[in-house]
Amino acid sequence: MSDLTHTQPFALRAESASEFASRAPDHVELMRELGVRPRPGWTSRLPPGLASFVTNGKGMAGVVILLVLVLMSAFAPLLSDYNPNRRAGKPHVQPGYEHVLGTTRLGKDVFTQLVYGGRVSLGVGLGAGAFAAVIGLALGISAGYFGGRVDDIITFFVNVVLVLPGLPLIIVIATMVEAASPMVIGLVLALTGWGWSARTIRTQTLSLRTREFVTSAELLGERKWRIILVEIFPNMLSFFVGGLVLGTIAAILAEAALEFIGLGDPNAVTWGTMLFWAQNNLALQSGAWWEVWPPCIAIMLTGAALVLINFAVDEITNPQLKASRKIGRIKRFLTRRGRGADVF
Amino acid sequence: MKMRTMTALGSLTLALALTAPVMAQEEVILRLLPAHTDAMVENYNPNSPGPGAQQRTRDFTYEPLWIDNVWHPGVSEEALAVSWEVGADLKSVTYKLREGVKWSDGEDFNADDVVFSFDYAKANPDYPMGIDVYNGESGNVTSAEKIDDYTVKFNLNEPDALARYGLNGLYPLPEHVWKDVTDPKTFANTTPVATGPWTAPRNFSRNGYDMCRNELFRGNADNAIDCLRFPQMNGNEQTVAAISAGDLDWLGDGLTDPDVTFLPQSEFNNYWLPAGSDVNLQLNTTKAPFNNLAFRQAISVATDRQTLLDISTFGLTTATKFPIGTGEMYSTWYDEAALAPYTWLMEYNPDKAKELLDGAGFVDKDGDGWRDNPDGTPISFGISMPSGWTDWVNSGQTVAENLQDIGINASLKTMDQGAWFDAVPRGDFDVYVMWTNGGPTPYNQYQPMFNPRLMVSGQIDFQSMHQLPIPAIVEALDKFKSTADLDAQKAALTDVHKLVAENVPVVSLFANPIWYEYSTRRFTGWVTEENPFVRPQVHDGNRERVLHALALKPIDGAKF
Amino acid sequence: MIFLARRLVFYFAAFVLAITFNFLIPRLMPGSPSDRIIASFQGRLSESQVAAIRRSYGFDGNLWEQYITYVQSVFRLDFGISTVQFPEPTAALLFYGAQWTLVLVGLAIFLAFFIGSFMGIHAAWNRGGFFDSFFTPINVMMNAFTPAIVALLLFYAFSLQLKWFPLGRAHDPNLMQNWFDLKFVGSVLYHATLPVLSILLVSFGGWHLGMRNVMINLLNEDFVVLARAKGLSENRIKYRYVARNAILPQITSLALSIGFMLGGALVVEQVFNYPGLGKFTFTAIGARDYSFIQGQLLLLTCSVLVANLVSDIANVMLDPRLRGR
Repeated sequence: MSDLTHTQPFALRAESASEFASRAPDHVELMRELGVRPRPGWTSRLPPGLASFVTNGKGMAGVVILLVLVLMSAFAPLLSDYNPNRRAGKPHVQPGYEHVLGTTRLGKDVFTQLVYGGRVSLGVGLGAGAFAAVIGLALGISAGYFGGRVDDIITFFVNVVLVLPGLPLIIVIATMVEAASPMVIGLVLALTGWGWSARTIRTQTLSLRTREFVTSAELLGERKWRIILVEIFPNMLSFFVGGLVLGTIAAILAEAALEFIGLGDPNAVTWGTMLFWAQNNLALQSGAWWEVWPPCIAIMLTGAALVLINFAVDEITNPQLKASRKIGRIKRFLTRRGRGADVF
Repeated sequence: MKMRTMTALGSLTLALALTAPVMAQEEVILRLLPAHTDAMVENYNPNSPGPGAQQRTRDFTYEPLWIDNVWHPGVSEEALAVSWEVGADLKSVTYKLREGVKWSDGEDFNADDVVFSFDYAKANPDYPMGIDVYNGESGNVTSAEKIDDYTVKFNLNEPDALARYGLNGLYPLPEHVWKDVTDPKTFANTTPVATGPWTAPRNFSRNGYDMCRNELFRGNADNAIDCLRFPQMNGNEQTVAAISAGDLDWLGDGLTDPDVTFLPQSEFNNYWLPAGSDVNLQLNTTKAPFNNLAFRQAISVATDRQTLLDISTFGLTTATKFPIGTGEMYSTWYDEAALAPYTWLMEYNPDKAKELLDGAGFVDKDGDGWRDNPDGTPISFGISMPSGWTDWVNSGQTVAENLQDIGINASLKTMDQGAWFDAVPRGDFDVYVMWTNGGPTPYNQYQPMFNPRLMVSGQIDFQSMHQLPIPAIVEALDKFKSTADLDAQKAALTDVHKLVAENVPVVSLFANPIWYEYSTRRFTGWVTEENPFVRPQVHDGNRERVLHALALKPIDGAKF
Repeated sequence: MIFLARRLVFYFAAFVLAITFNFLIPRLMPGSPSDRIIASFQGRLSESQVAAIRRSYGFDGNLWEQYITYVQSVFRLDFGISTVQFPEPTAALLFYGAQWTLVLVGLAIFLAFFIGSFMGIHAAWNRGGFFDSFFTPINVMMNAFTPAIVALLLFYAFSLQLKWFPLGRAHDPNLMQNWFDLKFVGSVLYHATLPVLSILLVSFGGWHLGMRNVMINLLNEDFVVLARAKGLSENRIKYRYVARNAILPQITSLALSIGFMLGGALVVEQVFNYPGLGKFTFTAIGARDYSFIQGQLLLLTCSVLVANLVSDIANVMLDPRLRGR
């Protein structure tokens, strides 16, 4: 997953595209043939980065899915009157009017557990992802910008974190604390998960440091923290978001896996512990599919949504990677016009 | 039910005899799984401190002096000894050994081997041979004396009518082999020399091995089974599928919903879950509020045991009748009339619990919705549970809910199993759920539970975690121990029962089942509810299991 | 060469840090192997035996002496005795678990690498086509389905219900281990099918995306334009020119994956009862089998460091710009 972010600057295609466009005889006809709709007005008023995100179908699909999951979790108390920790009915009641998604072997309401569980799973995942991304950003920029001794020391730690055996280490740490609550798991994941984003951001900062706008800011006597915040940080935003998204995926999956194998706190209601209980009480073998599928689907949907968002971020960082059907149309269009489509 | 997984950390691989000679008659093989494990280890040391080896080697390969038939005292109990006698002063036990027994390498078994085994246990205290050797401070057996070739006398430090129960479980070692073994705990004993029915290992691999017939075993005429096969397995999905497919005959796994997940898998699948030892809540009485009797009583009546039985433990456990820390396993020792006044402690009655708490001054003083100590300090505690022991975690959760309902801020606190074990000796806990040991008499349970030496911080035993010294119980237990008369023992035990019920050092919850699943695909003669001739489980600690195995007969035409 | 020397210094420092860490872990974890052993006897041990067992599984001497002893044993490759699989030497168990982990994770990594890379090449070459716009997101999304779920569902469907595949183990227990016996190898592959699939399904998307993205960036490079101008065949350009260059960063990632391979696939091994290192480690942690935990962490750290070193050396050899630095 570390290969998701790419760094090569891109200029060539944009130029050639505008060249073709200017030669086109009839703008409206061209747009129709290409299937391009005129940009809706409101997106053009957004900052360009955000605008390209909003117009990115994949990214928006991901955002919508994630938003639905987040809202369902946030408004859990409105969606269900049951207590996720208490028995709400008989064991293994089928989905129905009383229990939308049925009950678990212990008689807890699955839907209630799902929405309340989302609070913890999403919260811990996003929290750990954000924490790791912030550490990565801070260390990556510091190493890249200050260089020298600072860079040496930070790079050493980055490399150590990168070679640490992740999961076994997390298991050991989880057993050292008394109960591996979701918070603890999240913290451990954050503290061990910042290596890649630190490395990527350091590389990016190194290449930015010598650019004219940074040099000129330095010559103007700007303070270092201002240069970092105002000149460098905005350019790191997409890498930061990429790191955040990937870190969140990793944290959500790792938390679920740890809880699934029984290292979490089974008191906590999360998607991972729901799976743990379903597996332990042999839900599948007893035919209670409704105890297994909801947490599975929730985890998979979250993962899918985040991956879609990451796609969008990647495509904005590096528009060449865009895999829209439009490119296929442009290719066909160009071929019809007797031009080679090699540039793509 | 994960108790089993814990005791059972071993397993194996089948090595079917591709190279075995073609037999005129098909070999009769019993496939059994006394222990789960990730990989089989070639270790046939009957007292190996690593869990696993003793699970497969004891009883089947190495024989004890005596088999205490817990369900039918006195029936077919002779093993390497044929009789025992407790000295008149209760300071010795003398065993008459079986004559004519040969070790599987042809050497004679005699009193020298038994004396050697005792001295060996004394010389190697970290090699757990199960004998209570006197070491100048604790323990009781001081020496073993050879009276003649087939008579051994064990001398005791203090009078003890029950010492034979401990000595019965000695698995004598062949002196001519073990005298050269200097570090017995790491000795793998790959070529076992023993006296039991199956002593010849075959086809070892990490996936399992066979233990085949001892040609010199005295009971070979009645032993229908040529080999025991110990496969390596781990996990209930695997074992249930294996027994359903005919890869296992005898199993002792904690199953969830066996009627749904086990019985329908094969017409040959059967199970029976008789009541085993009890499960108690251990309250740390060195701390407030557990040092208050009314509070402990309130916990007992606030507990909804019916829900624990039916839902938290999947309907597989058995109700406990009296608040005495032990359960149905020892029902023959109950004096029901004497215990009747205490049954209210076992009935679910939240109103009574509130009344008890109000009366003792446990009311909400700071207005946070939870009851506080009479001195105004808040009450908040965790019920500690090892994570992964599903049914216990369920039970702890239910008890916590019950307590919350009467205004006590209790919660379930799960921890890694290692941390859970670690906190016990130091007394670093509020409330624990704890099994009881079992054993031939209730004395074996109450002795560690009320032994003041086991209540010292740093050496607290799993059974004495409540740390409530009750000297009257110790006296009654001494009385029990110092008489061989059953009626006198019963009278002493009734005193113990009443004292436990009056003091509520532990809160009885339910009796764990004895896990026992079997397949009638190839064998008949299994222990059933109608024919409970011995305790049926396949695990070590149940010395009767060898009688069970020897009682099995192949069904005509069964494929092995 | 200065670059390599610096890396070597780093690896040595990381190694020292790692063994120190390995040394401290058991001493920081609550509990000890003796607790589990004592509990397994369920009250059948006398007080004096309990005390003796606690003593013989404890640590002797002060921390510094223990550390020296430990470091010496590391260099003697003496990993001690496992307490879970008593009294098996830890080294033998590590070796046993490692071979099955190599089969399981090795197969999964290589299959994922080849399948993912080929799909990536195809997607990049036909960027915007149906394959690219449909499979690229799907494959990458599968990356976010944790092996726990995939393994659980595969196990339930194909092992428990349909009974097409076995419920555990690395091979048919009736076959003796012999890697030259085709029947045995077949049995190994059969038993590994579902576990490998569980890892494969959630990992090839990463290779797909990585390959695709690198390829796309290369398609605009001068050498591609030149190759076209020369009139070389499409396939020749695709595989000989572009894919060949794009695979270099992929191989670096592959080396790192191989390094982490010995960590095992804990969840998958757990679900399928596969006797790999992940499962052994999990059991060992629960039972506080310190010698195994230390041995496994050491093995893993070393393999990761070696893999990193190999990829560094490969980078230096393949990228002349790094040589002078």
